Amino acid sequence: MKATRGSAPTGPEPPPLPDPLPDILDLARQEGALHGEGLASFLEALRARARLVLAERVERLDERLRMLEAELAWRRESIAALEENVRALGQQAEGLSEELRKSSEAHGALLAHHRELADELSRASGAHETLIGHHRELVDRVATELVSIASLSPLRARQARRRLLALAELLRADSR
Amino acid sequence: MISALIPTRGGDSRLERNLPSVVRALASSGDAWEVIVVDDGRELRREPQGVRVLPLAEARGYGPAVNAGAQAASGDRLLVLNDDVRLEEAAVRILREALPPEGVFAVAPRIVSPLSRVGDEGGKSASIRAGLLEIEEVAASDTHPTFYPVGCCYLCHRRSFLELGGYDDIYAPFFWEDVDLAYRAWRRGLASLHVPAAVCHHEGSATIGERPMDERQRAWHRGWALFHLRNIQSPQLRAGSLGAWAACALFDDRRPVLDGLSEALGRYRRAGARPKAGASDEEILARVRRE
Repeated sequence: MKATRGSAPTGPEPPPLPDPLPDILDLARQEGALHGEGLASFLEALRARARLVLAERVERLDERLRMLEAELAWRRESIAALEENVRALGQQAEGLSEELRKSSEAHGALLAHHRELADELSRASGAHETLIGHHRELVDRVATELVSIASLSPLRARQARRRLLALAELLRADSR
Repeated sequence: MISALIPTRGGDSRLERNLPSVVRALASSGDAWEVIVVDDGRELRREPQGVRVLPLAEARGYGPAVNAGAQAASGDRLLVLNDDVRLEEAAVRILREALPPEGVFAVAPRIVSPLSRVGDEGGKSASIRAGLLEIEEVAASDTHPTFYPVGCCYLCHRRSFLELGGYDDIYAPFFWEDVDLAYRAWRRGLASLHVPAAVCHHEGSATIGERPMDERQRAWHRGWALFHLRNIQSPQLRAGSLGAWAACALFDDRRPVLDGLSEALGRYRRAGARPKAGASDEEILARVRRE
């Protein structure tokens, strides 16, 4: 079975890293590289290569750190810009709120004025209806009287004139 | 006759870009020539004109593809190339003139590449550092020994290539097979030479570069470990390399590294070490150490 290092995989995690070390040590043992002069060469190279590998790892980590720092700086700048936007939008919202309050007040005043005008219109309409009724009645009376006067005999002209003058006086009084 | 071998895996556009320069350089070489495109995995969409196409049903990687091409080649010299290599017109002629009939396994040109630290991938030195072989690029203006001819472009005798057994499939699909082959050649006293006067341009691991970084890192470490396990014979150097791999197993926390190391040990158990013969590791390393 192939050697691995690290824990067994769970879910979508990648499989564990392979571990070739046991095979390398087996081979080194078979070839006598773990005894005498071979061991000295083996250890010397192991130390030197380990230093290189670890130095490369540190370099990669440094590079990663530099990238993360750059990303962090970028995020900080973005957050500061977003905070500035939030502050500006807050101010804008306050201005709009005040404007809305003033508009609401003006709207209320307009509604009250509208209601007053509607009441006045209602009253004027009532008075107008009364006046029209009165005028209709007056015109009817005048028409009836004129028909009656027209039916008088010419010998009763004095009476006709008196009744016509009375009608004139009635109309004049109504026009005042 | 020179047989140019170009393994490719679906590299239609790379071949379209670079093949004309290969044909021009071969035509200027002063020798008869042929081009064999090894279609690894039959992934080519269009068959390039004017070349032999050797289709391989199963894609097994660079080394097996070159081996198949070498078997099929008609020439007595092999120009091994990648599909993302463009040759300058005089490159093949200069390499041909620099490859002697005996004593040299391969000649490699200046390889201009964006991957190169010194502007030329062609020259390599090697030394043991903290128990393991480490390879460095060496800039040069004159022909000099190089640790290995990079697999993207070199010229060698077909006979040497086949006598050495070609690339070892144990490294497939890629990385370290070219180092391994050249080391076996050095063991037999066959040098590799860097010839900067010949120039090629390498787009830069165009095929391998398409693989994920983890896969490349795993293959690199697998090949690196396999190279030591298969080739290092000096008891002291071998004990040192095992100590170094033990340090990696203990302290390296990168999965591709540990996977590669585990795979190397598995492959080595099946293949074993090579028989002891020829030049010692110390003698070989002395030939290619950077001054």
